[in-house]
Amino acid sequence: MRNAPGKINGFDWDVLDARVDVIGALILRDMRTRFGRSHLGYLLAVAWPLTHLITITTIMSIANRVVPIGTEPAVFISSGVLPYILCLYPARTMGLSIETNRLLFLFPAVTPINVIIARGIIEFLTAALVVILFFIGASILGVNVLPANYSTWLVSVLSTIYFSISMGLINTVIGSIFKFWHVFFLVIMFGMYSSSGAFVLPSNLPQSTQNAMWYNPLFHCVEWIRSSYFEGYGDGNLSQFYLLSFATCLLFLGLLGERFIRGKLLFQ
Amino acid sequence: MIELSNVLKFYKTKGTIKVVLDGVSVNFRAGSSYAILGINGAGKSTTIRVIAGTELPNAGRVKRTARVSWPLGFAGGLHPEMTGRENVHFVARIYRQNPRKVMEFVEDFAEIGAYIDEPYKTYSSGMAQRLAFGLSMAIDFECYLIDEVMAVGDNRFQDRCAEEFSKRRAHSDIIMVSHNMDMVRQYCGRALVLAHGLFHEFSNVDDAIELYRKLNR
Repeated sequence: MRNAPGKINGFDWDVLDARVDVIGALILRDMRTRFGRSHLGYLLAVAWPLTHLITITTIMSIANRVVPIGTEPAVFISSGVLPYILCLYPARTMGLSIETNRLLFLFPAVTPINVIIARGIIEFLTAALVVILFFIGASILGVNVLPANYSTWLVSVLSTIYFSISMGLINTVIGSIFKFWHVFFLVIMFGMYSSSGAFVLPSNLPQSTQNAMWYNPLFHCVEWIRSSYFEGYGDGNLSQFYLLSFATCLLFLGLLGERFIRGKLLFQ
Repeated sequence: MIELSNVLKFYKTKGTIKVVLDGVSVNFRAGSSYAILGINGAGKSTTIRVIAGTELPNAGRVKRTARVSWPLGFAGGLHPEMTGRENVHFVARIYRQNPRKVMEFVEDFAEIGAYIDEPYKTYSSGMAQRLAFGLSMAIDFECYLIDEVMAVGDNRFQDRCAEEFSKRRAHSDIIMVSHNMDMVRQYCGRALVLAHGLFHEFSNVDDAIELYRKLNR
């Protein structure tokens, strides 16, 4: 080895350092090759979901002048659509990470998990950037979409991204075995979106419908984010524990799956 | 340097199972260069990829305690949309080398001039191979894995490759797959013959070549 052994308390820090270097290189490369071949191309990766979010929020806010809760239509709509955007884009792009980087497995230092982690970090940053730009844009336009409780809002948004990235890991694993999975995922995502209560107030729906919606993790993302705007909102239905356990289960299933099909991910 | 213990590697093709390595244990020791010989379809290239770590064994362990190169051979692995320079920087980073130093070496060795800032996909096959080969020479590997091709390009460039490899042999070892027996004799002190999923190890290359010739008949 080129470097002096860096073992401290039996843990080899050099191995970790090497992994960090590989992941760093993969991140730079991924951002540069996302669209075309310049770092500017990465801006498209941010602009895409951002445009999607702005479009739905604008159209739905104009269509529903009377909102079921609060006074600002944009708040109700954007808090419903944001979880969908934060889940759809990161999970989908992460799911394609192995396929787009397959050539790189020629280099033994590039392993599937390194590629997945690198993508996960980029998707996290992209999602954060989308949220920040959306809120800056809204305040410039004079639309007040700022939450009442900032810490609840931050935790709920981060939890949504966590759920999305866990889902992305599962997507990578299943998608590399079954090619049709990526299409199937869009169908699942749309089903989750339409039953998440993005445009309706769940408490206005019959109890049986609410009970069925409760199992949808995206529903809890919406409820959680809205609870940062409206005092006491989601008290009856919201379970942060359910959402976080669901995401954590997906994460562990994904990591387990990656270990079992690593050989297949590397070489097809 | 590289130790295979009880390595099992097989393929499923159209319902039949093709065993490439059948519970093989080998120790590639530092200080020796090895040739892997075998008839076509014996699984030599797969073996090289298992040694490199670009393919995983179905069972058993591969332990590497040296800096092992990726399998050198026909070009590939570089990103077609990125420029030569960006590709070199990427590979330098993943192997924890100074990108500038690696770049200097590659520019000098591969002789592709201004094309270094053009996308890799615009390169002729000769240029692409020279870049990939120069890149592998720029990084200081302790063990080079070679799959068939060890020199690319025209005669003059092939001579430079051979010259560079001779320099490397002072402190680097080679594990190569080849059908070229002259090259095997020139570079390797030991040889393994792969047949029916098992390795037959020889400390004398000529004995290995003799077995290989018998198998080929």
